[in-house]
Amino acid sequence: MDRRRFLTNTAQAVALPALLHGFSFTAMGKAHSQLTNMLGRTDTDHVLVLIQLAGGNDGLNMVVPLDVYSNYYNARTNVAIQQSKVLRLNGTDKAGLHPAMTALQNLYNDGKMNVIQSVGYDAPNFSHFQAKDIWMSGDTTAERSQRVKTGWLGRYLQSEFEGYPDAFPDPGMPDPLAIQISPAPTLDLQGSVYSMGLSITNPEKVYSFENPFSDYPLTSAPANKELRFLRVVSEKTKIYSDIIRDAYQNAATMAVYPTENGLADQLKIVARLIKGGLKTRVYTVTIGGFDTHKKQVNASDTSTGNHAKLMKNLSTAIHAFQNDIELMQLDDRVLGMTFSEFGRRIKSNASLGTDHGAAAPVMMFGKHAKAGILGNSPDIPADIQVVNNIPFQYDFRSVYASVLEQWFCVKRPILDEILLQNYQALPLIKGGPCGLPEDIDDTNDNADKLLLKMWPNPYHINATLQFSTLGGHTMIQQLDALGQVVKVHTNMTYVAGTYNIDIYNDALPSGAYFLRLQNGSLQKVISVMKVK
Amino acid sequence: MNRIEFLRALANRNTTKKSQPFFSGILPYSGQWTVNEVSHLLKRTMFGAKKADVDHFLGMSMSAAVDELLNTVSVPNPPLRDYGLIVTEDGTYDDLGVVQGQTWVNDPNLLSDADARPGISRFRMDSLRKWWAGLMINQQRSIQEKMVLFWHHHYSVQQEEVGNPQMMYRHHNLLRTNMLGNVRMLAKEVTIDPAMLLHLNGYLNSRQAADENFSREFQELFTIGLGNDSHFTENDVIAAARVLTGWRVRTNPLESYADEAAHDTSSKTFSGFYGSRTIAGGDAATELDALIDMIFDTTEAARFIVRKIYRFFVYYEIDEATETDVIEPLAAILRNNNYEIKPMLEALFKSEHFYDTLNQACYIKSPLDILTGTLREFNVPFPAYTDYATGYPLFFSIYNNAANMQLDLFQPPDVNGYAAFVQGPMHYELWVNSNSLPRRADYTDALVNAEIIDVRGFANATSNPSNPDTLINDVTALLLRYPLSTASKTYVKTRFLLNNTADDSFWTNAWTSNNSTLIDTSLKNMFLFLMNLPEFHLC
Repeated sequence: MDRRRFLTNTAQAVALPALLHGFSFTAMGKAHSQLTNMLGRTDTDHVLVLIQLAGGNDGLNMVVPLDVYSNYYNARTNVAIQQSKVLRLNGTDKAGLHPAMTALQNLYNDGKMNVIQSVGYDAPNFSHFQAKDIWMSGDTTAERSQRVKTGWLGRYLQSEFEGYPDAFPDPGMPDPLAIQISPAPTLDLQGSVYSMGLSITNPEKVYSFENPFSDYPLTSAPANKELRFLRVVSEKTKIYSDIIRDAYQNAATMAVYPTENGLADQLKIVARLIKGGLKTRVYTVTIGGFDTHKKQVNASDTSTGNHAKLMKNLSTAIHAFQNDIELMQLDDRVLGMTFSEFGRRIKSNASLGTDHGAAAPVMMFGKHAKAGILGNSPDIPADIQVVNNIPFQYDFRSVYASVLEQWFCVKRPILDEILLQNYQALPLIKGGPCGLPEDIDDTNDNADKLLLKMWPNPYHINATLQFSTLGGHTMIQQLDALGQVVKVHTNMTYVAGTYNIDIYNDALPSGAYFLRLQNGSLQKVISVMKVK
Repeated sequence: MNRIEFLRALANRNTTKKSQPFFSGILPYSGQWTVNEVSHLLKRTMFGAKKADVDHFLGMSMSAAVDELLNTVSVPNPPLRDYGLIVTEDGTYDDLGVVQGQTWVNDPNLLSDADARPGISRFRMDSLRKWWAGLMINQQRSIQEKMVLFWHHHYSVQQEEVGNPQMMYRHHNLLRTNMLGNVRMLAKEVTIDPAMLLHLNGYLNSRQAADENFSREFQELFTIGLGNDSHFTENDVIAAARVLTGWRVRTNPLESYADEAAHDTSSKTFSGFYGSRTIAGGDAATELDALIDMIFDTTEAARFIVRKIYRFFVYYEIDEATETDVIEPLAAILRNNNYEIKPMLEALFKSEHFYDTLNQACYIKSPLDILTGTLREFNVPFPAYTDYATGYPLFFSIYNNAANMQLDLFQPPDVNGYAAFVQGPMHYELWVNSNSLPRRADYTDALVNAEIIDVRGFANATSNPSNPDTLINDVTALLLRYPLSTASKTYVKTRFLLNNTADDSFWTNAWTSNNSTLIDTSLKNMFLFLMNLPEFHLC
């Protein structure tokens, strides 16, 4: 063979002139009434940009709890951020940001960012893959085989755009429903059969494709399933890659982005595509490297090291993107949100790192992100044990529900179906874009007014639990040190007032527990101890 | 269907299709043995099915063919230094540890200037990748290169985490040496393999502060899995982490060893899933043996690895009938043979189930099936894998293209291996998306347009190239596992061989009169078209 020719021709993906023109559009699947479908859609030009922090972000070092600093420091002396270096946030002494996040400190102080404390769920999973699956599917079922196989955004988009991809694009949605800046699709955008998203790494890619055949000569179901999949993906790739290229080339970057920052590179593409006119509703981007079992910090200065680099890249990328979006005058349309499959263990390990943990903060940014810190600093025991984890204050699906309801104007009960059950609404979006009440009462203040106590504490086998409720749905869960719900004391509708629940012959093993009270959008968590 | 019903259907948890059940089990296959069955076997167990290989195996029985694939094993010579001088900001250096053309695998990279060592490591890592791609493109009639890829995917060590090419080679060689050997022994060896100790922090795991990283992945990803009958607990993860404390790595000479001072000698108690077993405190090696015994005494360990093998070689959906009639009996074979893998593989590849039509043409080609497989099927000649001067640059191109299509050798995306081999619900479908499909098309287009593929030679090797119907039948039988209908073949013939006429003699005359311009243009366009078909991505 001709060596030089092989290398020059296969060394890079060379875009060759189209040999063949056109393509066949094979409509498959059930009959589809475009009109009915379009009538069912929500009219919105809103965009969600979802940033995945892959590997499990150490929330405790990102949002450092200043009000329980000594317990925080005691639990992780070798990786703890020095109190004096923590970046202060306007209007709060409860928590501050990692020293490398000056860009996000500015965004917060400008009122364009919020932090939701201790977001998680009732039975935290410590496996990357399981936890990622749970966050992306929105289903916490422990057995993977029993968990839904679709993503929370996939279900949202499929409910809005029934029949995708076969009959799409259509006049109402001429663009991809969602775009992932990634080499492969992920579960959050998975619909019942197809991904509702389009994966791209190069928005200017040219793809020439035609397929004149639409018959299925084999009777084998698996082979036909895969062939059908290949045909649809090929056809849609051809159509949508042309649309994406046009949009990208229609717009120019307006802000200065940091260099050597993979997240910034991705967000830069996202901004251009939005500016280029795409009606795409969801974009997902990823920044990896958060699995900091070792060398999370430098021993000499804990505000430096691998996690500090990640915090800086995250912070500067988001800040540049928000700036770009503002210069493009798109800031009324765009909301951003971060998530990670779990936080990390409260107690650090001997490798200057932290192992897999449970709940962690979620951040939201944009003109319509309701500014502030929602919730309290996590409860950190003074005599920290390896097993101690941060219990959740907010269910991650409450965050999803709030975004879908307050940003995409999804109505109940459709919303409850997308998220598989109903979740409390949290005050996360300001400006009332969906016509919802502009301001829900200051949740944190009201949560402080809620009463939740238990006596005696520590308790042996009998105790009395006292709580107050503003009325409506009220639930009290007991969580163990790992953050798992081990008991539900009550879960029903109450008239406003103060109530007692007596506990007799409690059979739980001795140890540290948390009680979590949830009443409407409010919650309160206290720690209790069971002794032998 | 209203919206609520639609959403409920969407959220249905039981999405595993109760499609046509597989009636076939692992009884030996006794059906016909034609190009169809041989191609099926070869495209699954090797990279592509070359015509010469198909002919070779057609001349023997199915059983003899499987035996040959499973028993042909060669021990390759190690990778060589192919690189020249190392240029850094501070100067130009030589690798003083090894001369060009010699292997670097035993040299700890300590002799050269300290400024040059990181560069040397990068060159060595590239050399390792070229060498493996070279072995794949030059593979023998054997399952071995696919098996090595399977184990690489399974244990999924990432070179970026390890940062040491000598260790990466040693790890690779461990997989290669045991690829058709004992599953349980390999699990034990990998646990204390230096690269794995670095990859999942085993080397930092000490009695003062147990590091659970390896312990968790060992149970979840390498031995027990998360099937419905897997019930290991958080405490089992913590207890196994304590069993595994104390293993350390030294680089000169490269080896792992137990630092008993860092080993937790208290006793460790496990959950009911492991029979509530207690591993008494002892030295690190004794406790490791006890841990391996405990894990492989579960019935889930064999099922787990069989399911993973099944998904890698057969199909990713495992319904209840397959679990009962295929996975369970294969797991029994594995257990009854004390975890020797070969009898289980032999039973699988000789089974009715493997040759069931339901299991044919449903496998979406991995990037290496597309790259290496296509190059091999078109008989593109390559230098020997030992040819570092002219061969390595070509092998590197294959490696690079695969990496761009999501299969980056020695750098799987995470500790769970390559998502398409394990991650539901899409599995193999993950190889194909709006990003990777154009790259695949660019590659096969380039092979044709740059005349790397000898289209004329390929046609010449078919049974009667002057007859357009025979030519298309033969060509598609070799290239496509999913057949084209008669109407589709007629479309291809008319458009590419008959110049849009209905006259077969148009092609026959061109061929017999050796009209090179017409023949080459027609064939090129036809192959471009065929390799852009969705059918081409199935095997």
